[in-house]
Amino acid sequence: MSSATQIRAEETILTPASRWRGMLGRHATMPALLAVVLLGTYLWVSATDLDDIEQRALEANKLLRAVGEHVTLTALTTVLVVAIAGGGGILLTRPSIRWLAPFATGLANIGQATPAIGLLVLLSIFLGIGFSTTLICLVAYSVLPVLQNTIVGINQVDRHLIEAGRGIGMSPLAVLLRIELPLAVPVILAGVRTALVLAVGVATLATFINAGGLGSLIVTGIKLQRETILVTGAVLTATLALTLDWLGGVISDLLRPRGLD
Amino acid sequence: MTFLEYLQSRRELLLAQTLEHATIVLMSVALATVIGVLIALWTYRNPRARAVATAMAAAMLTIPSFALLGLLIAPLGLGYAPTLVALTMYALLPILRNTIVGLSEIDPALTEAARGIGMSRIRSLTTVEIPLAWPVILTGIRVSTQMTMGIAAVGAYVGGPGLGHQIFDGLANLGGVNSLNQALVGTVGVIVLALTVDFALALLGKLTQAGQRPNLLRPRLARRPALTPTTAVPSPSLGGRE
Amino acid sequence: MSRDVMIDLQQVSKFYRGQKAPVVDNMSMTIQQGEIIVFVGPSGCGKTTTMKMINRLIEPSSGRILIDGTDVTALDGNDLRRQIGYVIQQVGLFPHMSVATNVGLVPKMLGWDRKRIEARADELLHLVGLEPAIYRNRLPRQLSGGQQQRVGVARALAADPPVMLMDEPFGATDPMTRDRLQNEFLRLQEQLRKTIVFVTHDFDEAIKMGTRIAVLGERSKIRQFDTPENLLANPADSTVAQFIGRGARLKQLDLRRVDAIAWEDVPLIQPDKAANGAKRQLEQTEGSSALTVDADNRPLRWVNAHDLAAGAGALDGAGQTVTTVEPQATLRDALDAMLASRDGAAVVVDEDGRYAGTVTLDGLMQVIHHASEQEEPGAGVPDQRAGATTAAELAPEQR
Repeated sequence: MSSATQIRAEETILTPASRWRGMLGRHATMPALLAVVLLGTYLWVSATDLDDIEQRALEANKLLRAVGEHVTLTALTTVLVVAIAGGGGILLTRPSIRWLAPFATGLANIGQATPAIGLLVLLSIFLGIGFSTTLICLVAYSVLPVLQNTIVGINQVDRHLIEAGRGIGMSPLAVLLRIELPLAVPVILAGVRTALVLAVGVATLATFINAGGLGSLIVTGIKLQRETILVTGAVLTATLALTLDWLGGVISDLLRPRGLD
Repeated sequence: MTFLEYLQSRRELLLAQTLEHATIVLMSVALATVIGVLIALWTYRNPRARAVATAMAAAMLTIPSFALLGLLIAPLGLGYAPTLVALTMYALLPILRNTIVGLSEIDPALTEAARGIGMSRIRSLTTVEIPLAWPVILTGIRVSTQMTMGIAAVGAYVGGPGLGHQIFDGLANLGGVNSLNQALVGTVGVIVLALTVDFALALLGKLTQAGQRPNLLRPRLARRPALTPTTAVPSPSLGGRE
Repeated sequence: MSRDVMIDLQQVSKFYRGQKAPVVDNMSMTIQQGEIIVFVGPSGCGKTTTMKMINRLIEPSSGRILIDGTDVTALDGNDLRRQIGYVIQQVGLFPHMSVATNVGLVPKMLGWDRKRIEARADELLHLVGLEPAIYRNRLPRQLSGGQQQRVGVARALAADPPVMLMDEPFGATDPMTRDRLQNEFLRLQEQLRKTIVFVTHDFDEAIKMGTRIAVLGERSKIRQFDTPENLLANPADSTVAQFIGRGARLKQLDLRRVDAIAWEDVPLIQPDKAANGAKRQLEQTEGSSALTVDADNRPLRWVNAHDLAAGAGALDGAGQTVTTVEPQATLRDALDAMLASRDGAAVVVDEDGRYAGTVTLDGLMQVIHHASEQEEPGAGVPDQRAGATTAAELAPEQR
């Protein structure tokens, strides 16, 4: 049987070792590229004669603190967004309130055109400046793609699978946990990855309302006209965004249920 | 001062800023369309080149706008230029990806027929392939426009034009009389402008695809076929995967 | 209530909010243990809705459904469904679970231990003709459509449910695969004796699978509920007759087997008898042909008086080839064999290939005419006369 050999060939792709090899091939380029960029920036800054201002702004612990603030903001946002949008998406796909889902999707489309800086300033006017306002802004801004993807991800699961699950006596909860969510994982994770990138980006604006992050380096660089500070901040921000996005890609490859293409 | 009074008193400035905002967005989208379609034409038959092009455009979209602006100030200085370049880079991915999708989805029989009646490669592209892919390309253009509208606001900080100035003025006056009015007019202005331009583009789409089913009233549905919902927002999900 | 009644639908109706007419209107039906009941009817007639009310995927609006004497509405829906096998056209194997996991889902929900679930999954895969060692760890997408549906059947059988519901289970497969799956399933059913409700829109499938067939009209109204034989012979009205479609006679031939009709005897010529003796024997009997057989009574060739007259001692190459059928063959197979033979007769042989009798076109026509005598005149089965004509035209040739 010719299809048998074909099936066997597919099976070898599924064996763990080659799965890892496939992942290495797919995901090795970005870290290498980022390492080169970081090294290049480091060498460039070291070779430059730094004045006092630059030296103070580029102290290692200051850079680390800015990165730390940025990562903290992003990580907290991601956790909150997954909780809110995941829960909301599950609710909005239950038969009883499914009719509400188009509103969430419509909102997500408007959200795409909303300037993040505008939302941040508006929130600061009502909530004051600082860390928590930034966090609220980040969550509000990045919750919509995850919500949308959760809804789409669950709704794209073949209705016949759900019927089959119910037909063999699975409870609605079991159908959700064992069929709908696992099969929606790739789409949901794509949304989370988008949210992650949006959060890193908007977090660069946190500096405008005194909430720190890597944006402060860029602002300092622009204000004091110090190219080294500006470029270091921008490179670190870009590297962080690409790294997190890369991580998101690796994770979604790992969590992807087997049996899907 | 109420919001309406504010609008009234700054009417001319606001109109000018709105126009500037629309202009720089449309300019960058136009640039991105030319570049994106050219890259797509150049790569869409070669899976490897296609993957590299898409991955690079996706990586650009992943870089935070403020960081990209910062990187561009270094060579270009403050002002109009870094904003224009940054917006063009952001607008590239949706257009590039949709053009590739649009071109690859054309029935091979049609291009073969074009060749069969003696059309040159260029003529086949301009009279058959690009017109057929146009609805999908236009969808990409609409997504890019929506996206860059919001990003353009940040450009005001590095001397770019547009409604972002209202927002940053509001930020500078935080606690002052007009702070809320400024932030509100900047933010809402961008959203309204985005929706208006999107509607105009949808209209353009309807006018430029005579004979095909109009989808003016369902812009969201129209967006689906080319950009799956997972990627309807600036999405990194295609980076390095294809 | 009789002990053999497995499923009892009592005046079951289904209304949907906002719709005036019910989808299923006051339907009653009694299904015996071990039967395959086929619901057949045009799409949208409510046959699937009716079926899904049995396992309460759709809740009945009124009426009662009893399974083995228990009202299904008294049970928890999920518990109920774990005790009823369920097979759908789209198979519905979960793509992210292995074949064995899919098959073991219901036992797992019933709290079986892991060892027992694994053993059961292997047993079932074996039962549906998939070698467990090869297939248990496969993913659904690594199987062909036919294999997937076998796993679907195995999953439905996992907890050995007494009742199974099958919604066009073989509808998505190509005709050859469908035929094979149907045959395999019928063979399985002979061992398992499940009570099965089977939904299809394919009347030929209904005839093949059904112990009894319910032809449903709009709102699941039962137009006729009878055995395939009676349905073919006596359609209740013109709608049913239309649904049965062309070629009812031929379909009837599918239902009857060779051992169910009368066989005729022909003169046999043993090889040890001289040709002259055989000739005399032929002339004495009324039939114009005789059958030469070997020492073990296995048929060799048809011969007639002319063959015998031509070559006195040379019986070997004379006469016409023989076509044979076994008693278990359908009458359609027999007809096929008759048409392949010059003499319009097929020789019935036992399992060792020995002569047992013959069936002829004449005999077959008598069977057909006997059936049609019971039919109302003008019931509108268009092909009946055409079939008869063919047989009549062929009849003279055999003499």
